[in-house]
Amino acid sequence: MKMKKLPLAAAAIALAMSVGTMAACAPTVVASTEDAGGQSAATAGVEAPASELDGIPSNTPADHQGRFESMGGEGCATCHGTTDGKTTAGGGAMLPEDHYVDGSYTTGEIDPVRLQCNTCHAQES
Amino acid sequence: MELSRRKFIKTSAIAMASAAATGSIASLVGCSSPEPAEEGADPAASADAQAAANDREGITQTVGVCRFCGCGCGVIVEAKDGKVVAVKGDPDNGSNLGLNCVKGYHLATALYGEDRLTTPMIRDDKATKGTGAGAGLREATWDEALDLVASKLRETWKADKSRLAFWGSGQQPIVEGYCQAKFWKAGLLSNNIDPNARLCMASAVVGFMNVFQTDEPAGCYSDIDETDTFVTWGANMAEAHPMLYSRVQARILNGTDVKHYDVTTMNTRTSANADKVLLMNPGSDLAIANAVANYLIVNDLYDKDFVADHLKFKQGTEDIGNAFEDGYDKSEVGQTVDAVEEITFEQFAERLAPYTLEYAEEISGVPAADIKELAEVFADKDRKVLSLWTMGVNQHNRGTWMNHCIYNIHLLTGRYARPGDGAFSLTGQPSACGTAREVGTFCHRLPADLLVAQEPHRRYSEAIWNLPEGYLDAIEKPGMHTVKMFRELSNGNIDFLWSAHNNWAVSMPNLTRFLGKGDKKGIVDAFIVVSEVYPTLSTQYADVVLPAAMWVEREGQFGNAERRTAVFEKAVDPPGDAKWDLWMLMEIAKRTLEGETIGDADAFDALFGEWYDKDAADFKGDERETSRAIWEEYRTFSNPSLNPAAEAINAEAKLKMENKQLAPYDEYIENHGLTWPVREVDGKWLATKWRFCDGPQEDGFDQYGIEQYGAQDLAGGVSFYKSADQRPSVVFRPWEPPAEEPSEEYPFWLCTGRLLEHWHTGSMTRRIPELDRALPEALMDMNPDDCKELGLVDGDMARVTSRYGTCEVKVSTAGRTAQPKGRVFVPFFAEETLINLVVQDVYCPLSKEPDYKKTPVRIEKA
Repeated sequence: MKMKKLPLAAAAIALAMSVGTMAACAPTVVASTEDAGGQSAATAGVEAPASELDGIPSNTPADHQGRFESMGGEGCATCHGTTDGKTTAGGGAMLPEDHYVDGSYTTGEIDPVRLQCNTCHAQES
Repeated sequence: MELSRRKFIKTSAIAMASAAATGSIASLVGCSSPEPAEEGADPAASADAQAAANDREGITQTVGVCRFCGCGCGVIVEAKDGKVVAVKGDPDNGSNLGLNCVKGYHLATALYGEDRLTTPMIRDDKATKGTGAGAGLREATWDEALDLVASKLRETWKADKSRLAFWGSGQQPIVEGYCQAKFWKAGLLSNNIDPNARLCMASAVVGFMNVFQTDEPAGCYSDIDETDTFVTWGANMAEAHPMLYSRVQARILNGTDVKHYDVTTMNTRTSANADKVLLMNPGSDLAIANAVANYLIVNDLYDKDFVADHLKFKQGTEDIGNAFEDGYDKSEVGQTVDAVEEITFEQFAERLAPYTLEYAEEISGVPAADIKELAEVFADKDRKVLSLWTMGVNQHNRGTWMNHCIYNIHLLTGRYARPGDGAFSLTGQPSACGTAREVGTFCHRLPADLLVAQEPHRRYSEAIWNLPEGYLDAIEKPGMHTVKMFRELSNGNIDFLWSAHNNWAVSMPNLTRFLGKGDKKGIVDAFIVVSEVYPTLSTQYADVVLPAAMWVEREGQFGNAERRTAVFEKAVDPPGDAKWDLWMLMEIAKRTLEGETIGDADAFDALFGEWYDKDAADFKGDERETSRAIWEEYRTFSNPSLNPAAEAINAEAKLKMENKQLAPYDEYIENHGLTWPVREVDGKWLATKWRFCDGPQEDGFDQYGIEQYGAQDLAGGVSFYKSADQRPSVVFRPWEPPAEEPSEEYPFWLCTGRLLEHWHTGSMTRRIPELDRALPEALMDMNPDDCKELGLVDGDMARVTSRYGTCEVKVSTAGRTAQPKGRVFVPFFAEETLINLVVQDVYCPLSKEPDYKKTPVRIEKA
């Protein structure tokens, strides 16, 4: 389904007002044995890299299931977007500045190539 | 008021920012590197920035390429204290421009699963094969393992070399694949070497060679940024080529009236944003493509100048049956499947005439009006059209034919090799092009598109490899292709199999047969060597497991789908006693060839002595120097002027080897990859983005190729100088039905494939907790009505059975794909599901690539 503009915009904004913090784009803590709940036997005990400098996009939480599919990246931006680099509306983790047109928060426009959020932010099942 | 998409984001973001409580939002650095604090910034923030800066002390940065899919995304690898700690998109790599996908970001973690293989292992009791992870394997020294492998290889080689085989991969780096092919073909004089790229790209390869007489696309990823219309044929790019799909979507959003048509058998993530989804019956794509071509001709909408200047027309053997039986290739029809004859344009039009829109609708289920709309897109001279396809086309019992049919449409409308106007076969693996195809690890090939069956090609290879003239005549007949290899293994006709960079025990079709679950015991009797980084189902069947260095634990090179060759530098050492695959190869070759000669020279030294000291059991230089030395020999194939004997053969036989010209090794590092052919101009090496398209080389056009071999001022500004008579072939291919169709006993179509989070059989990505949590198990996507009729609900286990085998899998009606009634989809990454127990091993008779997309199955509640 192609993203429709105004009707879904309204829905997205309404949703944005209702959701809590989202982990997407937050600093990554590579899972340890203890916090990798739900993993298969193959991943049990995986040793984390030596630091948390890895800049890995965080997974989208399980309670966000279906949001990207229904609203697209525009919907995600309503909670996680910013225009000043300090605040986001929905309390969501802030999109990094390199996700914006011209690499600047001030444009208030997400770079279209960054709008396939689920390409980098895997949806937790 | 109509808001633009981007305006909407801006407006809503501002509105939400205004509504938000101030000062309550946690900072975020997740997708970018820490930045130094600005003057006057919050002290706490400055402290954080300083801490971040301190954390960066001791970090080294190297340039790399993602080791997963065929996109070939450039990455920057950061390492600290001997470990990779970060992987980011490389903005200087022309393929991805800094973009990445979730698999790429997690590359670092893929290296550090706790069960990395770090010690050679040997199985003493063959009866323990397949009895569990690690069962029956004991640790061994490298010398013991290598001696055993080489002795078994030599024993088989001396006794009957038709009974040995190597199965490689499109994940094998270029110089490693080059040396492997050289050892097998020139050292052992065997063509029983084939890559797993046979399973994903062979139909595209044969299509390219049939049509253009040169492999790989003319265009590049920049076509995505310049086209007006995308047509995806059997391609779920959003899952299988995620970076490129992001570029597709960006083009749609940035452009004006950019359209996307998705020709598919199911609704996927790629369908989600398409303007039109042409939901077709499995195997009916040829009818649709032929109807499009017919419509263009009947309505006089094709490009007559392009046809006159560039094209020739052909038809080939038809009614070719299907490769169910082991003897198909040598059957009467099997031996004639490649035959073609030239026909006129009028005869071609006559052959197409039955393919009316209505007939195509009858076969495909796609409304005639939708097929007409698609045809009119191709007819519209004001639009550029880019076709993209992958496994839905290639893994097809008529995969090669469907490749032909796509080119037919593009060539008839003059839409090929021009910016934004092209037909682009997407590659499955990171070096399916660079290694499997370009260095010749196929059973019928030599490096640089050369064929073992062609005498001038053998002479040319002998010249570069400094072999006696006629030496390679011993390999003029192609060896076993992949399916043949495993069928013969199961028949007990292979005594020695070595596999590397793949996991055949999960990825091959018809595993019920190939894992010996029937009455075949070939897999138990054969001596099997597996080079691997983690325990897999394949290592459970290995007699010897060789622990390999993984990805940036050594230097390597990949060649991606847009002909971009790129180097990944070594960033860290491998763990434990894991070794570079190239070292393993040298040591096995050294032992196997001991006492052998080529001419008057020691065989090993003749082949590898320039870069390997067999007495020291080590390379003569470091990894960079070794890679450079091998590369320089390899690139002579595409730079004949570097070798006088080769240069003479190139001229006499009109091989035009410069059409794939490669640059010196270090150029690829300095430029973060280059797309071939690469031309030396005033001391600089300039890439080519659009082969065969005339224009300035510095802008990415094929100026020097056309000047040397082509012609200027032809229609479309292109010149197909590598094609016979400089004319690509438009080949009529009829629609013929799938190899098998649903029946009362097996009423469903089963399609298998990849999903975003997991690479192939999941042997690496399932060891990444984030990816495993996102996609922890394989689900069978089903239509809700089918579930209801079978009494299944989401979460139930179902038994899936074909005439080949059976397995159990959990049912979902809310999975990644939405299935039409009568069809199901199962990803193949999950070893515990092992859907390939069920999948047929019938292959395209021309390319020998299996059809993973259309197995009739029965589904029952488990």
